[in-house]
Amino acid sequence: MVEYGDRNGESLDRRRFLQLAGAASTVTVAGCANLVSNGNDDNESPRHVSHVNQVPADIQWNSSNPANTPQITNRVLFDPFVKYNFSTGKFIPYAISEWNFGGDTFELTVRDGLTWSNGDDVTASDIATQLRIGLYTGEPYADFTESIKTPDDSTVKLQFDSTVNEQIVTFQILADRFVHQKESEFGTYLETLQNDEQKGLKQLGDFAYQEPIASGPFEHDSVGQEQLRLTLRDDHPDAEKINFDEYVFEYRESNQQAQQALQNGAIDSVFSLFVQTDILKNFPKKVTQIQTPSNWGYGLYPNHSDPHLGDRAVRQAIQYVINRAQVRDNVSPDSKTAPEYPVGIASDNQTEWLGDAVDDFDTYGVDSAKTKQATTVLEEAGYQKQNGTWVDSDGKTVELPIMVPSDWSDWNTATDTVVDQLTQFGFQATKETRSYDAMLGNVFPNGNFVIVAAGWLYGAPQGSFPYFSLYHQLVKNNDSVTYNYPAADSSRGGNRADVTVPARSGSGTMTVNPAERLSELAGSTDESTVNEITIEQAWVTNQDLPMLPVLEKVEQTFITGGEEWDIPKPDAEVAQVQWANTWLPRQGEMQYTGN
Amino acid sequence: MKPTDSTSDADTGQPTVVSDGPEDTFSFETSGSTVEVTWSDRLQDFYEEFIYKPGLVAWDDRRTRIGAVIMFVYLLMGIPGAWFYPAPSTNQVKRGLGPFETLDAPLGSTGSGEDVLGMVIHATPEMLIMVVSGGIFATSVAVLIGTVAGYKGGAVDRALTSFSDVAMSIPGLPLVMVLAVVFRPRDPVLIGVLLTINYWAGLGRSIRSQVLTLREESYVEAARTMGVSTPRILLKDVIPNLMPFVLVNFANAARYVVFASVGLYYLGVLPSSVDNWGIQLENAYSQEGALVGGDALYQLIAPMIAIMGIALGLILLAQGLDRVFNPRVRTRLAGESEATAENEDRETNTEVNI
Repeated sequence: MVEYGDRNGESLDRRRFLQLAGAASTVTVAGCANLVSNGNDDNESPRHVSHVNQVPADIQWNSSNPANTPQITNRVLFDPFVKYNFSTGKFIPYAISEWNFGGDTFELTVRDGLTWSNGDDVTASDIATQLRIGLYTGEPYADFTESIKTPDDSTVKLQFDSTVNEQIVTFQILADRFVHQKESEFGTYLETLQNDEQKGLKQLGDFAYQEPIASGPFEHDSVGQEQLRLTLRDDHPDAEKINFDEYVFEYRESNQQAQQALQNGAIDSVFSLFVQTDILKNFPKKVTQIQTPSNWGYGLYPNHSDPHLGDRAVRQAIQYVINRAQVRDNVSPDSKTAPEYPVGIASDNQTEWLGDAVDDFDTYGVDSAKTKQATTVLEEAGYQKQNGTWVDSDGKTVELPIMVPSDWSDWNTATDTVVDQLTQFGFQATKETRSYDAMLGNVFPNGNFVIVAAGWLYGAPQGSFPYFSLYHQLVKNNDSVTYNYPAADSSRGGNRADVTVPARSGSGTMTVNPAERLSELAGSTDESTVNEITIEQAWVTNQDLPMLPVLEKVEQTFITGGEEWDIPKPDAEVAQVQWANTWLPRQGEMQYTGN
Repeated sequence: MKPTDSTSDADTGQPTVVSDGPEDTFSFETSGSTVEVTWSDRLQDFYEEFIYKPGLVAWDDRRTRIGAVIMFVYLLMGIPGAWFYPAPSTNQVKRGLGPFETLDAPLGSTGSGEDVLGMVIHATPEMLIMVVSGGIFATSVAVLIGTVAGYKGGAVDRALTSFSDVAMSIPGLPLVMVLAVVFRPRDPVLIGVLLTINYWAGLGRSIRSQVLTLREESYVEAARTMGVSTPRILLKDVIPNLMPFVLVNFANAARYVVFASVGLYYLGVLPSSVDNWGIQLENAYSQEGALVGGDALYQLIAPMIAIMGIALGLILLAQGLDRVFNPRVRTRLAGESEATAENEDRETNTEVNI
């Protein structure tokens, strides 16, 4: 009796245990590339788990709404117009299969067979809708675009009011753009914009697009606080190249959590993650690092309305004092570079664009703190050192609180070093931290800072073409930072004023209007004019220092290979894109091979 | 009357002990001439009652001795150490040195070339200031509110008790975090106060209950009958008897300040432009990757030992001092010492008091 009862209990327990274990294993494998049940017990499908650094449930996919815009998930959900390959320096056609530049026109052809996840075809008028919305939301091509027409179902034609520079317009219209605003969803906003711009902008800016209609190979399935689940669309033209059914994004808040998740195989890929040398060498072998240029990196934005930082002498002194090579070595010499010249041109392209003029430019000391020059320039401007601290002519201390996003560990290391360098020179420098969200929401737009750390270049791939980074530094920065530079656009706290700097020839001064000169550059097809304006404006950035360049980073993308995923070698041409973990599947170059 | 007496004493040149005795009992409340005498007397009494004897009792406990030695080490680190040892700054030594590799950085260096030991040492002075200011703030507010409430009773008691109940019911850490974000305090004294902003409440309550028993003591009642003012009774009769209890809680409050400050610095809630063990932990974790294979575990361990050490020191001190509060231990020990041989009756009094 007792025995019977016991056995009965035991078998029950075992059954319950198996049930629980079943439930638990579903939870545990949710974290890695594995076979999971898709509802049908005998049919299991592989999934790719990637990393997202935003709370998935908060993400909304309307890029015109600044709150919670996606950083990576949109690149799986939506197809890019084209993809820029860093190895060849060329655009690879994708959702836009062909484009033609005609001096004052630009024609785009939509890829044949491309559909939305609700079954509709992607048409020229979908593309035209989103380009037309861009005319109102301040996209750079709005400055010279007269009209956008759709001659047929697969062709979009932009008409410009004058001739424009081919390279600039190609970058502006094609790079980093996605097929994401379907006419049926966004058409009404465009109509409102056309009738009442202010009202339209308000409505569009408030619209949270949380159930997106995908144009990419994966569509939105479900979302929670920790995870976003996308499922493969069979009607996507590249669906047959993909042999896994789910693309899952898991939330990891900090760099360390993401690094840990990569190490223990909880996630298969990360689109961009800073991993310093010491940690990298302890990564499992199967985790592949793909490095791409970023044309972007750690810089300091002075608030030009600050009494001290509005003074060019103080900005130059800071630039002289910062030993960029030391900052680079403290952060991670393998994934950071110290730009040779503090100008609005990416490190790799500086000598190419500046040519012979490069000798005139000031390096401000790449690998040394040029304290002598800094002292001279400050003393000439009426500053003096009292008890080891620099004060202005009124006896007020030069205080330099540097604000930095608290969750960006590499930038914190860089700021610690910069603060020490400035303190040793006699500035009263401190580090202040805020969350990146707080910076985006409050610090950047309101100019609530003395110095803030932000990217000094436009970002890849546009950043490799100097116009974009010069425009970013002088007129309209990409991060919407109100830094009150007089020559900048009013949306950045300026009034498109003239700038006077010492002439490059060495004697006298020169006065230019950066905003006008750069728009002249954008409209020029003449190579010598482009070169001339580039050098001239680079000179302005070098002398006036609207932003202080410190480091440029190398993007680090991680994909797990090993026995689970068949991926190309890190230096393979096909992988030299941003971001490889969203592009390789479309090329059939990221195949699930696990068992 | 008194002046004449003293002159006559001076005239005869003889200390008239016999005549002094009845005088004293006779004119109890006129204390004109006794003032000079009692000041030093009282100091002596105070020293014996509240410092020497408790000290003796406490020192007899091994925990107190160890705790005191530990705290002394931190004092050494905080005052002469921080004065003589070079302050940490980036690139002062070679990057990424391990511990015990070179004398320039005995505990190694960070990836930015900061001396780890220097970081530990230079975080100490601010920590000690914070600990002391937080401890003093918490205990003094608690003593003030607890004694007044307990002694006065009635409406005052109800008001003060409700006030401490309200303070107690506010969740401590979230409140401190909000205040820290709003005020962004840099002054360690202010940080100490901020961290203990509602820590005093619980302590206040227990002090109040101590006072409730103390106020019924005969000597307190006597003082009351004699018309001594309330503040005077509280200061002279009540609070001194609470001192051991307060001291124990001071040590606990200090420990709380250590943990809270380290935690808030780690979370980046407090401004990070100072040296603190919490910031050091955060740097080791997030910038050096100590937990993700960045070979920087020693950078995590050094500040951890510093935190554990000071907490241990404070706990041992508190536990040792706790014995002072225990009347049996106290009488036995203090009774054996020669200092107490002559005033046994006072000794018994103390015991009863507590």
